[in-house]
Amino acid sequence: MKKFISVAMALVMSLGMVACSGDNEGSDTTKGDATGSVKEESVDFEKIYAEKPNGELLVVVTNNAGEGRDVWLKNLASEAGFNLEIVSLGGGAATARVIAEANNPTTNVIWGPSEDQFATMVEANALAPFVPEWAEDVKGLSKENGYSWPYEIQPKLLVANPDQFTEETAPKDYKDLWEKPEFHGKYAVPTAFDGNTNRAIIGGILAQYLDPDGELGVSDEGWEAIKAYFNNGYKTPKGENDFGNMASGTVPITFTFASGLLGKMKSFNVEPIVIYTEVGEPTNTNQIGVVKAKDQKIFEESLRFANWLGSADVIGAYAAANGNIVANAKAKDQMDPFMKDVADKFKAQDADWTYINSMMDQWVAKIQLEIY
Amino acid sequence: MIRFEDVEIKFGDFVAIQNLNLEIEKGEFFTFLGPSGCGKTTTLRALVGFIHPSKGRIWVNDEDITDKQIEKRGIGMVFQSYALFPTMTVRENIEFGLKENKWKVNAIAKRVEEVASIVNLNEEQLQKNVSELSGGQQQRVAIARALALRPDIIVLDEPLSNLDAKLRKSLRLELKKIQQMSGATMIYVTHDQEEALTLSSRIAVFNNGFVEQVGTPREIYYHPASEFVTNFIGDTNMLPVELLKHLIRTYPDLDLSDQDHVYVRAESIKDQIKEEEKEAYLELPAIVSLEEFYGITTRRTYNVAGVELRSINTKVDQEVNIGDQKTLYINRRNLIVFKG
Amino acid sequence: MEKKLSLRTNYRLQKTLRFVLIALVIGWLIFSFLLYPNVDLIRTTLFQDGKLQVNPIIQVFTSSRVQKSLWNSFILAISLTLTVNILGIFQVLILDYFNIKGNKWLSVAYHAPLICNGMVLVLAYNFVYGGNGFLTTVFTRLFPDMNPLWFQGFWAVLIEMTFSGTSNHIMIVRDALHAIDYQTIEAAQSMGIKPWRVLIKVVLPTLRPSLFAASILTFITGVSAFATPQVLGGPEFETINPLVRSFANTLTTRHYAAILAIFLGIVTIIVMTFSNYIERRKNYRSVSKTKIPLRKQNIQSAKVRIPVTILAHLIAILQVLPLFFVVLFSFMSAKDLYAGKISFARFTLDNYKTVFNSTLGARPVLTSLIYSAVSSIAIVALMLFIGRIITKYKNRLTRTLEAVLQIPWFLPSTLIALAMVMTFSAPKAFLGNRVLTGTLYLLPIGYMVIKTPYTLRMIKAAYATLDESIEEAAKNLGASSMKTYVKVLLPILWPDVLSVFLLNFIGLLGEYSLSVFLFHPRYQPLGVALNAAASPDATPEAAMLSFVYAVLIMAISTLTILFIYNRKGKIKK
Repeated sequence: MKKFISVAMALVMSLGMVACSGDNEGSDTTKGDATGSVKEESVDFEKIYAEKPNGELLVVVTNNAGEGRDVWLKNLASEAGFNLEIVSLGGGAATARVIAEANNPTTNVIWGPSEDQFATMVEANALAPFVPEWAEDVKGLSKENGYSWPYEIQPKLLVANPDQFTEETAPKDYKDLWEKPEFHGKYAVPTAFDGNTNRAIIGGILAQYLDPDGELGVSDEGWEAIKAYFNNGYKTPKGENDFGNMASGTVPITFTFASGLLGKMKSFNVEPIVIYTEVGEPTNTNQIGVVKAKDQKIFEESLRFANWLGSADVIGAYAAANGNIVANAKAKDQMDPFMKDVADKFKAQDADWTYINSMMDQWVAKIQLEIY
Repeated sequence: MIRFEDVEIKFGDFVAIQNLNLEIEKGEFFTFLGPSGCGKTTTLRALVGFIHPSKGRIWVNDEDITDKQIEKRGIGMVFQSYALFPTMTVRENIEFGLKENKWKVNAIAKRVEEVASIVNLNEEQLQKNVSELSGGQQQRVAIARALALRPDIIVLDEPLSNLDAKLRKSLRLELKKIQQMSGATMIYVTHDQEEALTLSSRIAVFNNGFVEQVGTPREIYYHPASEFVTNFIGDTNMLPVELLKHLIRTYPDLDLSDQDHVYVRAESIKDQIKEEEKEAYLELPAIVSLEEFYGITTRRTYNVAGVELRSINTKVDQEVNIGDQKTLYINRRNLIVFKG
Repeated sequence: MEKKLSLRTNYRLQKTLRFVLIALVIGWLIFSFLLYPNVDLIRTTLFQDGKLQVNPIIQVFTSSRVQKSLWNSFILAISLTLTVNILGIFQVLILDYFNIKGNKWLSVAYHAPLICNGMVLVLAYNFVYGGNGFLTTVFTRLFPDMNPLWFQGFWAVLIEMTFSGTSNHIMIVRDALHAIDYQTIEAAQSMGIKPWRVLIKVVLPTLRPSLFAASILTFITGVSAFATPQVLGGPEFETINPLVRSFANTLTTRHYAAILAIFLGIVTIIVMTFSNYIERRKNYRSVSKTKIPLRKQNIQSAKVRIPVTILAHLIAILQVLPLFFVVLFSFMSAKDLYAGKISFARFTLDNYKTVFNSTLGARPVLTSLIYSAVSSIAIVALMLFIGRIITKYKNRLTRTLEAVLQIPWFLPSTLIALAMVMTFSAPKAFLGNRVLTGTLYLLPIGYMVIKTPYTLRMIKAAYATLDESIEEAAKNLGASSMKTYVKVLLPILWPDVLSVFLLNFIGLLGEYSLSVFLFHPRYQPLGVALNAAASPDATPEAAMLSFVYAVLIMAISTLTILFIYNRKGKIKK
């Protein structure tokens, strides 16, 4: 009994110690007013980028940390002089966290969420203005906001089982899925609505039916279409894998974000038919941003790290290893050959994505309540 | 030594004790007697400090203890459920109060031996966990625990009620001895009149939140101050005055016209008396309806014009049969009459 | 006269002062961490410019999906209460009432789901019994005509939740069975009543209060079911909580979550109040003064004993099997898992290597260990204090206190977490203008908030078994209130306190929905690491790491249980 209590005491005390050390760090960042003491106009990016990393500990939140990528990044960064704490969170969770903590952030650099997720962070006044040296090299890929910059292009690709379909028999477009009975029940539909990919698929469909007079800006025909899309598709339950189902042929058509394609192909030992649709693929970019910081040294280090991470060398090496489609024009040649082929062939769906993303929450709510 | 002064105890709107005034002398074996719900335990708990009176004061040795903390009152208590500490051994239970009062280790050990021998607990039993003891042994532990601190006052809340009849009688005797040995003032709560009468130096009879009578066992038995006490103590028959119409003789000087009923104890109803005593007795014709033979005593139930009367007699010479006609004799002195 | 009122001598004034002080502290705690954040969040989500937004309410309740999900949730809760009671009583009787061979193993097996619950366990069920599951593959080979999706829908959800839900149930009910006076059973037997009638007429009625408490917990588990219906419910059996959580996750749909959470809360409160009312009408107390401990009964007839023994062991196997598979899965590759192939030759330590080679390494283990232990100890301590006040002083104030402390039961953890992050990210006067977001304190506070209702309920039940005169006896012997509590009452409560601590601790080890918002970035708890591995953006290979984390959680839980119960055994001799 006494031993138990002493162990408990030890635990409490160790938390106390951890808490104290945490507090000290916190006190560095809590000085100054809540909106940040770093003067926005006074930031001299060139000067900061020219300086060597100062080794301040940075908290990097990313959805790109799985499968050993965290170790890869940490090692590469530490060679460059950066000291990282990598926090692995899904894109949605990372975004929600940055927004919720806007007044008192615990993170420094956000790497990986999509441009519209970054838009909400910007709107919540959680990010610091940031212009990397490679801004010119990613120009035109997304709407510039002055805070976050793309490092990766992320088309959502429709893929089909190569044993059951040929390029001719596979669907040519999303519309085929619900309009042609031969595909009914053979394609996976989104089952959750907080992930980027799922939202982009829905956006890509509804984008074709925009109508200012329709409900929530979508025509009746559009709502019928999305209803038919869901009703005729397969809702992959948790515990099954849509890509696995595609590979095995049980549900031979599914979709994936581009950067996941290579890994999933390897996991399930399949080379699917990648369908390049007529209207183009719903596409977004994934971006890097810097969270506001109250400590000048940490803030400058964050900018330096974000600038370094998106540079052609680093992101090119990352893409080569993981099968991403890079945003940085100077890194294009380093891409995996299969993905380079995809990058060359796919066409980004042309739509007013800013508007679509602004409506997405309401659309998703309607789908959840009335259609799904 | 202990004085209740105009004490009133309320639970919400319910008045449990009303206007209680009571004095208990040092060294007394004082009993609170009454039916359940009469307020006797409530009064005891107020003395110990578990309940705070809504009015009045309680004095011990001329000190007003009404607002004193329980743990500082120094009154020993034996609980109806024993309230032994289940996680401790017998020894630890007895030591508990001594340790809390910062006794020295040697003194504690010595005192534990002393009280253990007073209540007849042996060394082996002291090592046991209290849950391993029988009910009677547990009660001994509870008494030892209360004795250990040598309190001037020990209160006992129906301490024998959970034991079987035989054990109850033998422990009752021991309690009396323990009281004499320790010299402590004991206050004893019970609903059992036999316990009260045998143990007490004085008894307070409680009813409905009031004390009906305070007195020695004999006073209470022979001179009950109220109808309630009359009924509650002893085996008492109620005689409707109507019944006296059936008297065999008339008594010109007997005037009960302002009464509805009178009482008579069972032992005061006789079926034979000496001829020369007859003058003092009322005579009633009766029919035997039941007889129970106890050896020393015999109890009979009679029917007198539809009213049942019970008698207890030591000298019963003749056997009777149910249905026999008998004449009952009641000494006029033994009629208990309350003013209308 | 004035002197008489000085603090040292005036006992009643001291009492009043103490009351005011305690009331202030508890009031402040509840206001700061429970009421303010949640009420504020609900206010900002449901009201605009001070006006209640009616439209979303109408939208929510006219949705046929919502209606159906709500209906399903309540059907599930009611059925689950029934099935968990049936299976739970059976298990309790097997463990403690009848003499059944293999008692030790049965006891371990019946408690096994305690150490692994939530999503990972459900996934394990699915990988065993689901469409591509291992056993399903075996069955379909034997019976080619059978539906591979046999383990899907309402019944699958009910079965999984029943099997994983009884361990909590039996922990509560076993204690009550131990408190039975064996003489009552002997008395009934001596009247020539048949063993089964004795069981039904004498034993079960005395278990009623504990069955009742366990039923309420089960009901709430059923209403708030999340992981199981998502995985095993299939398209036909959707429940409400997954919908609530998905609404809670996005800013613009949060008001739907708040509306549904409030609605669920109200309905649950009604159900609980109603059942409390029924229960209170039939209250009883054990009248026996000298109890004889329970002795196990032999089932005389072999015709009954053998099938009962087989059934008992079968249930034990069914409960342990999924856990066993979780361990197996942690050694497998994603490809083999989804293909439903188990080949020991292909087992690998790769998943473990990935976990321990990652930048997180084993840190989440330590983080969760400390966080869970500290929060569990703190909340148990706090509820011991508050529970005592509630059981000792029964008045309107304490009843209100008790009701307020139930709030976290009715709010999804996601909402509680959001409310806390948002409230505490700005300086608040009632916290001395401190900012808690981003500190290490926020997560343990959050853990304490979500564990409050359960802890209070269990502690209150423990207090209810205390004989009041024991406390009086201690005080009478000169012990102060504090000493009475520490030296006499706490030792009696200790076994219950340890159980509650343990259940909280194990439950918090893998907690996710609250942790993900509140954790300090440098100290990731296991639940966050587990779910980051299994996030929708993750590849299947990465998702395999969740099994490794689950195995870690099971290992810590098991070690803690062994550690505590070895000690508990020593105390009891």
